[in-house]
Amino acid sequence: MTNISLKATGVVKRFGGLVALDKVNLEVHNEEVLGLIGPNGSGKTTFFNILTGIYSTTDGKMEFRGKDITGMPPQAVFKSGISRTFQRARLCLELSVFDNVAIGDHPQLNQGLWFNIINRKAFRHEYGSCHDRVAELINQFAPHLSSKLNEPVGNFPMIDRRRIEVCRALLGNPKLLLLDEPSAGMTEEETRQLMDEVIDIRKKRGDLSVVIVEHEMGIISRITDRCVVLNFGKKICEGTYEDISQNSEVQKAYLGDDL
Amino acid sequence: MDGSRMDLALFSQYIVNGLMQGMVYALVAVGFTLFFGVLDIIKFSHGDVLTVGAFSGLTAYLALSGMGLSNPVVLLLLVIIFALSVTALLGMVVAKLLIIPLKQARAPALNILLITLMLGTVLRETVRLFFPNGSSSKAFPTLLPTGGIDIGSFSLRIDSVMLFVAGALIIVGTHFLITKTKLGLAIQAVAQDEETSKLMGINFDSIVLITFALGSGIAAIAGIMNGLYYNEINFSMGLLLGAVGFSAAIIGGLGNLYGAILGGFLFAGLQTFAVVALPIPTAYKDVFAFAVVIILIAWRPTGLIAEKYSERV
Amino acid sequence: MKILSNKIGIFAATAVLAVYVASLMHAESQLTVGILSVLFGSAWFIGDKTGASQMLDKGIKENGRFSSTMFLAAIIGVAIYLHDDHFNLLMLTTVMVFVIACLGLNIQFGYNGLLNFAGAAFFGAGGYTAAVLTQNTQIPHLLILLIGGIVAILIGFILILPVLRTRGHYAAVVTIAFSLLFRTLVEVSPALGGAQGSAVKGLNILGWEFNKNIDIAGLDISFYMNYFVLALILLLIAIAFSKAIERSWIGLNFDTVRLDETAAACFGVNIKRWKITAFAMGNFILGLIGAFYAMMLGFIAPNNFTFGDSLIMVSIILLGGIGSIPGIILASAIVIILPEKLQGIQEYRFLIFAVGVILILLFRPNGLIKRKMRQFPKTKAQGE
Repeated sequence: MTNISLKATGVVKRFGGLVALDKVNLEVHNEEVLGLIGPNGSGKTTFFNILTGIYSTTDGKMEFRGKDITGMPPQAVFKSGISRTFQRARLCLELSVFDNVAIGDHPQLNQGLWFNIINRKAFRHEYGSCHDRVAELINQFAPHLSSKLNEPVGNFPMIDRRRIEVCRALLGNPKLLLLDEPSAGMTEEETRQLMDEVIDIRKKRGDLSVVIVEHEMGIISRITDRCVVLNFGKKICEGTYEDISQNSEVQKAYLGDDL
Repeated sequence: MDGSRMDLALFSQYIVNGLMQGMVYALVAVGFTLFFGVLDIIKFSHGDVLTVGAFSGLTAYLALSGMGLSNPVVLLLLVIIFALSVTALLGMVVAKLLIIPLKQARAPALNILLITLMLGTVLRETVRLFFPNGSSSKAFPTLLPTGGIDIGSFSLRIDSVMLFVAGALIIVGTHFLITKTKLGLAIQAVAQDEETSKLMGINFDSIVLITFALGSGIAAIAGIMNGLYYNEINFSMGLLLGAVGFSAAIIGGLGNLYGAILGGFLFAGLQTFAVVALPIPTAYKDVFAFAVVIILIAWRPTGLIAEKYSERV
Repeated sequence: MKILSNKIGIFAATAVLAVYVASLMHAESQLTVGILSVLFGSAWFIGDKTGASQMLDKGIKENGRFSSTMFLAAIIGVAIYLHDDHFNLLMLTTVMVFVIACLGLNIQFGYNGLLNFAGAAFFGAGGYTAAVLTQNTQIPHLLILLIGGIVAILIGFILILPVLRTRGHYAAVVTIAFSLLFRTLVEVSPALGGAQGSAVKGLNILGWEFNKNIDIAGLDISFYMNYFVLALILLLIAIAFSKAIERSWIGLNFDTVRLDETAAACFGVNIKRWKITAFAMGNFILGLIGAFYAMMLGFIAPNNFTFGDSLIMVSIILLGGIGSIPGIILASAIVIILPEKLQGIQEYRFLIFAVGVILILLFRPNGLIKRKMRQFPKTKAQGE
C-alpha cells in the first residue's frame, strides 16, 4: 500500500462560465491533517462538495484509497469512508441529538422493512448497540449533552451543534474526515478545544486522515501537518504551515489581507 | 366529417379556440411567474382571483345596465376598470396582510403554498355563497361586436380577433413594463436579489405590492376575456384555469416571462391536439394535457426554459 | 390538577370524553350541538391556559398503554351506546376512515415531506377498484381491500419519476395535475360509471354479510356496526404501523430526508429509496381504506374524489399537527362530525375549513396537538 489516502488529479469544476476549480491536484496522506486554505471564493467548499458527490466534476479524477470515486453519488462516497461536516452545521434542528448523530451510522444499520416494522425485538437489540456507540461519542465530545440525547438539537447553542456534527461524522468510523470551517460561530478557544479532541480521536483510531478548511490561521498552524493553498480555483502552493506562510505568492493572495 | 380528412372550417375553429385558450392560460401563467420572480413564492389563489375579476366585471355590468347604461363600449370599459381595480386591490391586500409578513417571518415555503391554496378556497367559496345564486353558472354579457369575417367556409368571429389582440397587447405591454421602464427595472432588481435591491434604495414592499396588483389585474383581464368568449362564468372557473396557468408557468420555467407564454400556448396546443388528432373522446383532452405536463416535468424538472437553480451548501 | 397525571385522572378524562362524544352524536337540536361545540372549544382553551392539558399530556406519556386502552374502551363504549343508530355509526366509522386515510398521507407528507395533493385520487383509486371487482368478479372481499391498496401503489408509480425528480413547488404541480386528471378520467369513463358514478357491493367476509342488521338476543344492532368493527381493527393496525415506522430507522430516514436531503445523502441515506417507500406505503393505505369506504357507502361518484377532497385531507393533517397521530384523530373528528351535526354550517364548511387552516398556519403552525419527539423503544441499559 502506498501512503496516499486521497489523490485528486486535474479536478475542474465550472458553473456556467465561472471556473470554481481549475485543474487542482491534491494528495492527502494517510493519517495526516491537511489544511485547505485560501481566500473567500477560492474553491475550498466547492472541492468538498465535489469530493462528496454533491456536485458533479467537470473534469479530472479522484481516487480514494486506490479506488476511483469520481462521479460517485454522495451515498457511495460516504460508504467508501469519507465523512464531512458542513460550513453551516446542517443538522435537523427539530430532531433529537441521538437522531442527528445516529444517522451517521446509516450504512451499518439494518434498513429492511421486515426488520424495522415487524421484527421489533431484533430492532431493539440493534437500537441498543447503536445507542451505546452514540452515547460513547457524545460522552467524549460533549459530556454535558449525555443526559440530553432526546432533546431537539435546536435547543442548543452553536458550539454544541458543531460537536454534535463532529460526532455524526465520526460515528461511521470514516477513513477521511472533512471539516468545513469548524470555527464558524465559535470562539477561538472553543474551536481549539474541539480540534484537540478531533486530534485525540485521530491518534486513538489511527487510520484516519483529516482535511480541514479554516480561516483561523492559529488553528491551522497548530493542528495541520501540511497545507494546500487555493486561490481563484487554482492550487498556488503546498507545504507545511511554515513553508506556505513564507511563500510570497500566498502572502500576496491571502495572508497579505490579514497582515 | 369523415376520419381521414377533417372539415377545414371545423379545424380552423379548433385552432382559433386553441389560440384563445392559450392566450388566457398565458395571461394566468404570467401572473404566477411574476409573483415567483419577486418573492420566490407560488400564489395558488391566483386562479380564484381570476374568478373574482370575472364576477366583479359581471357585477359592474349588472349595476350599470340596471342604471340604464347601454353603450357597449362604455360598458366594457367600465367593467374592465372595475374588475381591474377590485383584483388589483385584492392582490395588494393579500400581499400586504399575508404574503409579506409571512416572508418576513421566514415561514416555510410549504406554509405559504398551503395558505394561498386555502385563500383560493376562501375566495371561491365566498363567490359561491355570497354572490346571488352563486353556485350556478352565470351568463356573461356580449359586449363585443358579434359579426364574423368569412374566409372560405370558415367564419372568423371578430370578437375572437379582438380578444386575441387585446391579450397579445397586454403581454407585450407587460414585457415592455418589466424590461424597459424604471419600475420594471426595480421589479427585476427585487427579483434578482432582495437584499441588494433594498440597499440600492428600492422600496421593497411597494415593489412587491405593485407586482401583485399587476399580476392580479392581468388575471381579471383573463377572467373577463374568458367570460366574453364563452358568454358564461362560474364560481369554480378559476380552479381549473389556475391549475392550468400554474402548470403552464412550471413547464415553461418559473420566473421566466417567455416560459409562461410558451407554457400557456403549449397547454392549449396539447388540448387542441387531443381533440383534433387523437382518436380519443373530446372529454379526455384535459387528461391528455395534464398527463403530458406530468411527463414534461419528469423530463425537465425545472421547466423547458430552465430556472437558474443552485443550492448553497 | 396533579390527579390528571395518574391513572385515575386518565380514566376520568376518557370517561368524560366518551360521554361528551356520545351526547354530541345523540344531540338533535342545533342549539345543543352549538353549546356542546363551544363547550369543547372552551375546555380546550382553559385546559391549555391552566396547565391541565400539560398535566394530562404527562400522564398519558407515563401511562401509554393504559391510556390507549382507555381511549379504545371509550370508542367502543360510544359505539355500543349508538348500536341501533345507523346515521351516527356511519359517521363514527367515516371518521375512522378519514383517520386511516390521513395516516397514509401522513407517512408521505408528515414523515417524509412528500406533499401529495392527490390523496383523494389514490383513495378513489381503491374505491373504483372495489366497484369494478365487486361487480364483476367473485374475488373475496378481504382480498379486494388489499388489491385496492396495490392498485393505488401501481398508479402512484406512474407519478414516481416526476415526484422524485422535482422539489417544492415543482413537485406540488405533479400531484395537483394528477388530482385533476384523475377526476376527469373517472368522470368521462363509461366503464367506471361516468359522472353518475357506480354502485359497489357491500362487504362480505367469509359469508358474513356486512349489510345485514344484527340481532343478538333480541337486541337490534345496526349493520353499520360490522363496518365499525372492521374499521376499528384497520385503524388499530394503521396506528401500530405508523408508530412502528416512526420508531425505527425507517422513520429516522424519512425525517432526515424531509429536513435536509443533501445532508442525509452525505451520510449514505438513499433519498430515492425512502421517497418511493413512503409514497408507496401512503398510497397503499389510501387505496385500501378507499376500497373499504366505497363498499360501506355502496356507491361512488367522481364528486367524492375532487381536488377539494384532497385539500381536506391535507387540512386534517395540518389542523391536527403534522406527523401527530392523536392530532390527526382529533382533527378528523372535528372536520367530519362538526359540519354533519351543525347543519347550519354544512353549506359553509369549505369556507370555514379554509379559514381555519389559514389561522392555524398563521398562529399555531404546529397544529392542535404537536408531534412529540421520537421515542425509540427503551433498552435495558436505559432502564434507570
